[in-house]
This record gives sequence, structure tokens and C-alpha cells, in this order.
Amino acid sequence: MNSASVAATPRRGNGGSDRALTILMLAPAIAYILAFFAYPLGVTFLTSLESDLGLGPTLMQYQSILTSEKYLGTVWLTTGLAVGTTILSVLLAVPLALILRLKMRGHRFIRLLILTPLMVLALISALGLLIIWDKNGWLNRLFSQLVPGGGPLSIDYTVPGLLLFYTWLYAPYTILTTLSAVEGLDTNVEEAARVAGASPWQLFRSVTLPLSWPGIRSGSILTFLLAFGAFNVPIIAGGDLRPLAVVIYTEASTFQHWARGSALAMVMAVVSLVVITVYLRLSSAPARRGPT
Amino acid sequence: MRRVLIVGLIALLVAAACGGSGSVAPTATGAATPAPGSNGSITFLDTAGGANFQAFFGQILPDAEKELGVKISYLPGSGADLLTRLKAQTAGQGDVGLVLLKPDVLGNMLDAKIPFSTLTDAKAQIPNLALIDPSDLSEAFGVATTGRATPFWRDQFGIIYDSAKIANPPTSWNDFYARRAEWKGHIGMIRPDASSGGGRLMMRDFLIGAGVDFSKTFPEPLQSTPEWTAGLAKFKDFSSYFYQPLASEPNTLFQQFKTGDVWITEYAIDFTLWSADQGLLQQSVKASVFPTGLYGGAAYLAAPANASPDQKKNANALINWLISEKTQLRMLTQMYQYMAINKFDGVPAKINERIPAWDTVKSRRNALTNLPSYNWLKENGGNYVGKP
Repeated sequence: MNSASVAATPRRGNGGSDRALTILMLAPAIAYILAFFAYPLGVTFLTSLESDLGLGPTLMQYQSILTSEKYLGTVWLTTGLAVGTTILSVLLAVPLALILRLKMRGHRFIRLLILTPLMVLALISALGLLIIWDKNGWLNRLFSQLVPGGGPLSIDYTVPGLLLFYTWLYAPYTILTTLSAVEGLDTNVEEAARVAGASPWQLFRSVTLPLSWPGIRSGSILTFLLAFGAFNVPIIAGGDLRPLAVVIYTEASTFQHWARGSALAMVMAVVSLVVITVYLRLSSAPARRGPT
Repeated sequence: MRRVLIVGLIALLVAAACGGSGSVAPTATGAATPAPGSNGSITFLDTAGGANFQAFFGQILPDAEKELGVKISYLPGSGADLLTRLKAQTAGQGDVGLVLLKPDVLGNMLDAKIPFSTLTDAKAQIPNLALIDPSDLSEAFGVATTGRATPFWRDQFGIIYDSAKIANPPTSWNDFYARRAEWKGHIGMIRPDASSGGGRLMMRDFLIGAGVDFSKTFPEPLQSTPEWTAGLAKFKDFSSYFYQPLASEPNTLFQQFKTGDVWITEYAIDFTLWSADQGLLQQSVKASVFPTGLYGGAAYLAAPANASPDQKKNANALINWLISEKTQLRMLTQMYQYMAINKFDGVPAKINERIPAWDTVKSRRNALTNLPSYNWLKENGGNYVGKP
């Protein structure tokens, strides 16, 4: 046996110490997850089983939520905003990534601009966007000048407005992962497809998109989760549109209805889990198909 | 080269963030003042002050440190956190020497049997207690304090209006309601379910102006009175003339003022005018009060009795400093917050161009009583906001 094969062969007979080492290496992460995720989630779940008077266990909070038009409407609003933001982010990310990949003049500046929403606190961004898009804000004034009699646009405190604000804040996550995936593609594959006679659309649909799909998907999941849990933006710029995070805050912090707030938080966790699971199942198809 | 520049920039930013610990400039008077910390230290926990007073304390407490020679650790916090912390303090070892509380929080603390020092037994150490009305030392808005707390400020809500848009503000709730069409779409309010109480206090004051008697027990018989039903219906009509959506927080309300969407509202005089001075609102914003009354409260200083001896000694000195005429006048002129002391000869006349004189205000204050009804407004008030 030469030294290379000795080095390549896993050592046997030390299974016990290997296992101990593995556990030791994983221990901090497991402890972190237990302390800062599992335990708080457990406490939240147990609190959600209390009645308004603190007695329990009871499912009355869940019953109230699932039979309430107000709360169900909030769930739909939250999910709709998150899905809408995700779709807009992907529609923005893919063409932008394809263009930036060409590394044309000024591409570094555009890459920096993409990071701008990440550099500013969401709360400050929300306030700024609210001011800019106010009916007397400079964007509306510009619009009124460009389209006489056409303004002002109703952006603040509307669903389109929230979608715009969410996309501004959360699209960078999708853009960055998509850009990374697109730039990491092996250009020989695309060249081969081109040589084989594929049109630009066929090239994109059958080669570029499937190969970069994992990056698009991971970024869009992040965007969805951030948009689903958004709080800073809707509390400032949502007006009467109050997604789950704002309602949970109001129930728990303002009304001191900890059980109701906890139940809403559990509902929020379940809904986001279901949506992500469905998305992962549906979105694994393009990657599996691969280049034709 | 680019990397060197980026690293250098980051290093500069970190150095700027770490530097400037707010060390106090040496006094120019030449008078002998004790070195800060030479007389010990104290932790001062504030559960009543908003962003404006947190900034104010940041300015005045270094002066107190210089004059008293006491190192003061100032911490903003919440009533709930403070209650837990004070309960955990063991006698003689507590690390919180002084607290600033709203009356309801003070009431909760006394109900929870948190021991506070009887300040009136320490008049020799707190001579400025003589400037406080004796009735304010025995009771705080229905809470029997028996000398265990002293007011630090008296806060007051007012009708806040942009004098550039409204030359002739309403003089009562009936007048406001009768003239609502004049300001249709420009009357502002914070949501009743917001963390800030401004909106529900405005709603409560409107109901008082409409004849609702909050001295009646809630829910019954208050909810069964015709005034309650009529008052809520009247409010629903009134609020249909509001700028909507309602502001989620005070800063959103101020932003609505600044953009000209809102011209008039009811809110805290001190925070509003301070915000105008900070450039967050236009300087044309003014305040007035109604004869029928608007919400008026106070904040109280109290010294936990189980604090360490060092903290307790310095608590008396700091309380005396905070209720001194000099500090109280500074608060009035800088923060537009009414003084707790009954000494008005030093009040500059100019201040009454911005806020009503105390003599005008003192008989027009609606104390926050009947907390169950207030909590009801918090949760249900939004259902009585009419659609435009």
C-alpha cells in the first residue's frame, strides 16, 4: 500500500473517539439551537395553550384565530405580501444577474447599489420610502410633472406600496444568490448548447435557468421568510394593513394577551413552514430536469 | 491599495464609535466641586421618559454628577422589567437607587409591596420638598403614596395644531366636533391599539367632553349609560373626518404633520414642541387646552428602600437636585414640560407663547382613572373609528 492510499483510507478501530469528537464539534451548535430556538419555541407553544385567564391547557386561542375573519385575513395578507415580494424579487434578480454577468462598464457600481438596502436599517428605509412616496413627496411630484393630471400615485399605506417597499428591502438576498449561481455556471455548457443551435430563449430556459436554479431558490426562500416576518416596514408604512408580525406585537406587547400572541406566532411558524415545503417541492422540478 | 483604504476606513469608523465617552468638560466657574464619583454612585432607572427625556437626562445628569460628586448611571426601562428587578433586590444590597414612574406603575409597585423610602422623613436631606405641594406628596392620581414619592414633572396633553394652517383653533370638544368639516381629512390621531397611549387618551378625552362619566365602574354601569353609547357614536362620526390611515406611532403622526396631511390633533405638549425644536415638526406648531379638560398626568421620583446605603444616600441628593428650581426651570424651558414645584417667579414669559400657562392648565386636567375602561378603549377603540 502506498502512502497516498494509506492517507485516503479511513482509519478503523477508533470509532468511539471519532463519534465523541463529532459530538463535541456539534455540541455548541446543538446547544445554541436548543437554547435560542427549541426552548423559546417550546415556551411559546405552551403559552399558546393557555386561556385568556392564564389557565390551560386549552385550544381556545387557536379556535379563536381559525374562526376569526380578522386573523385569517391577516394570515392571507402576510402570505400574499411574502409571495408577491418573492415573485417580484425573482423577476428582478434573474435578468439583473444575466446582465451583470457580462461585466459591462459600471457593473461594480450596480453591484454596490444592490447592497444599499442591506446597509440601512429597515426602519430607516421604511421611513425614507414613506416620505419619498408621500403624495407630496418628490417622486409623486416628478410623476405629476411627467404625466400631467396623472398623479398622485397612492403608494403609502397600500398593498402595492408594501410590495414595493418589501421588494426594495428583501430582493437583494435573491439577487445576490442568483448572481452568484449565474456567475458560477460553466460557460462551456452554454457554449455547447449555442453551437448545437439553441436560440437565446432555449439556452436560457433549458441550460442557464436549470443550472442556476438552486441559487435562485435559496435566495428566494430567504426573501420569502424575511418578507413573511416583516415588522419594521408595515408598522411604519402599512397603515391599516397589519401583517402577522405587527398583530402579534400588538396582542402581546400592547394588549398583554400573551397566550393569543403566542398562538398567532405558532400559526405564523406553521404557515411559513407549509409554504416553504410546497415551494421546495414545486421548485425542485426545473433543477431535476437539467439541460436538454 | 483598495484593501488598505477599506481597512483604514473601517478602523476610523470603529475608533470614532469607541471614542467620546461623554466625559464632562471641566467647569469654568473655578468653584470647588467634588470629583464625580467621590461621593459614591447611584443607578437611576427611568420608566416614564420617552426619547425626549432620555435625551434631556443625557444633558442634565452630567451637571448633577459634577455638582453632587456622584456617579450616576441612567437607564431607561419599562415598568414591568423594573418591577421584576426591584422584587429581586435583597435588603441593603439593591443596585437601583432611584426610579422615575408614572402613577399607574407606581400604584402597581406599591400593590406589589415594593418598599420605598419615605422622602418626607428626609426633609433635611431633601430641602426642595418644600417647593412641592404637600397634597402631591401624599397622593398620586388616586394612589396613596404617603410621602414615598415626589412628582418630578406634570405632563399635559394639548390640542396641537399647525398655526400656519389653523389661525383659529377649536376651544372645546363641542366646538371641535361642530367645526369638523373645516378640517376634514386633516385631523390626526394615533391608533387606539398603538403602544403609545396618545390615541386612546384623545378618544377618552373626547368621550369626557361628550358627557361620559368615567367615575362610574366599568364595564357596568358605565357601558349601560346613554352617554357612553351616544359618545361612541359621536366619536365614530367625528373620526370619519380624520386623516386615515391613523398614525401607528407618534413619529408617524409627526411625519403626517410635516407633510401637511395633518393639521390638528391631541397629543402630549412636551414631546410635540420638543420635536418641533429638533426639526421633526414645523415651528408653527402650537398647543392649547380645552376648558373641559384634556389628559394630564405626572411622573414620580421614588427611592427603593432596599437599595444599598450608598445608593439611598445619593438618592436623596439627586432627588433634591432634580426638584430644584434651577433644574425644574430648565425642564420647563427646554422640554416644555410643566414643573412639579409651585414656584413660578423664575418662569420666562416667552414660554407661554408656546404653551398655556400653568394657571390656565391646572384646572383643566383629566386624570387617567378607571383603568378597565382605558384598557377597553385600547383593544376596542379601533372598532369605533369611522371610515372617511
